[in-house]
Amino acid sequence: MENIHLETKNLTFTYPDGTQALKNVNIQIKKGEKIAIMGPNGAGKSTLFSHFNGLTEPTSGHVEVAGEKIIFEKDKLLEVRQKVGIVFQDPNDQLFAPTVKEDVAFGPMNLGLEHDEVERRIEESLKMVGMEGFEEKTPHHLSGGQQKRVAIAGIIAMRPEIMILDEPTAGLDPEGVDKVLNILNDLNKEGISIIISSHDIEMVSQFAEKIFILYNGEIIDSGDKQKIFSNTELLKKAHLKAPVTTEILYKLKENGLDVDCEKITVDETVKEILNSKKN
Amino acid sequence: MADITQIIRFDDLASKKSPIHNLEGRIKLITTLLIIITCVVSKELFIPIGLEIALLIILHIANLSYTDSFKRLLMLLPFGGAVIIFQPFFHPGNVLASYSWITVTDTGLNWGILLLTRMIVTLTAIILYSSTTPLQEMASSFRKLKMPRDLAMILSIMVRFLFLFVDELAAIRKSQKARNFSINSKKTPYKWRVKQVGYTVGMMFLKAYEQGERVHKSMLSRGFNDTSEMFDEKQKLEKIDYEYLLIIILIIIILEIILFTQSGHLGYLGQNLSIN
Repeated sequence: MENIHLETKNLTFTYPDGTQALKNVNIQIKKGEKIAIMGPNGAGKSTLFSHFNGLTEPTSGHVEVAGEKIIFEKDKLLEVRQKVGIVFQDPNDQLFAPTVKEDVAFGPMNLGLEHDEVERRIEESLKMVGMEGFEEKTPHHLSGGQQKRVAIAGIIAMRPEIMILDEPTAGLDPEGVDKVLNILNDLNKEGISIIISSHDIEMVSQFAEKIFILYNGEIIDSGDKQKIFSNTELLKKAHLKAPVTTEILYKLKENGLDVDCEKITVDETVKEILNSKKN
Repeated sequence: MADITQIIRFDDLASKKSPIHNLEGRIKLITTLLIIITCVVSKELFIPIGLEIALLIILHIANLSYTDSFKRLLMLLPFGGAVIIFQPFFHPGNVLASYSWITVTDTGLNWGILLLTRMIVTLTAIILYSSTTPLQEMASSFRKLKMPRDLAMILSIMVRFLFLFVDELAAIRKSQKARNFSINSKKTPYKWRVKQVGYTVGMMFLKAYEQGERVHKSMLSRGFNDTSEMFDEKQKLEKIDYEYLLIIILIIIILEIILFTQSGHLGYLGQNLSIN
């Protein structure tokens, strides 16, 4: 059980107005995994995320980080928030310092690090997201993609073990999406577990190893991407669309071609079609 | 028309390059304060006028337009000007002129002139400071000069979000314009138009409140707590910064010496005009 990095046990959250945002959510995330949580708007993704580092206290149930239950005490929370970093959807919520440098410094300063160490971490994390040279720029003057990368750097600088990103690619151009994904893959190679939420099925199919489907505050299914994306009924229920490749395979199958619908990447799909034609 | 979106233009102006713009923020703040204090405590016209000449020269070195600076001065003047304008009528002294129950006294007039001069110099100093220092640099200068942590944090965040606020407002106004809304439009009832402006203001408050909540969450999530310190870059002062500070101090000392030794020859400029 040691490699379970983040776990929720019967996590339930009800807003003061009585809306039940999360119902008995049980998820397990292993160390170094790349996870996507998908679901329609209002499914409870952001609420779930805010439980992961103790921003929100559950109504019942609890969250465990590396086997330890999150306790709502100041010092314990500080520890949890260093381990579990959240990158918010709108960079404007996160970038509030007058310069990029000061913003990235915010997390490390709160950890009480020495000035030199803070400087080192700023340099390191800005380099990691390809934003070196922007230290003195005002976040306000950056493009959406650049703001996103600075927001990520702000979390990297705290050296978290788990990174949570709420819609990391929303509103970015294709190049911006690729850049963010590359950063996430690099971080993952260094052993950081990554959890993202998104509606972008193509992006998720490229990135995630495991997918949880959240619908109406409940996890209605989970599994590897082949399993999830080939289940059209499930996707329909969760207001999601299957990747184009899956749809093509399904249509081919309907028309009598013997193909395996669990292929997702373009290469796999092409291979599958060619193979079935040969047969 | 002056409107809040102009703030961005001012900040662009302040981000230009010139020997004065390039000075360290703290130095600019300290010299501005020095000039203001010297000017406010002087009882003769000589010192403020000397300082004003120096400020005009610095404005020139900073590549700032005299016309623009003068316009900004005129815009700011009414705030204190309203107090000054009544001075000649209130203070006892030798009556210079009178009309029915209104009298103008020499003491009052002199005091008014002194106040006006002080105000012009103070405003010029502030205009120079604000046109050569971007807002974020001002905030960080205050912080480096050991402003209390909480105040510095508020100031710093305020500066950052002022721009966001302006952007939001500009976006709302653009979308209103795109649907042909104009406050001066004759096609819609006046009351309705005012109501729309009211909605806009209300929406801005709501947005600001919600943004504040979200920002606070994101701060907490990065470990913010009541003992958090802010990151200050260790910026070295360069030779030119010290030289600028020294020049300003020298100008003040020289003006004081001239006033002290030559007050007899300066005439009206060397006269004590203060009523205190």
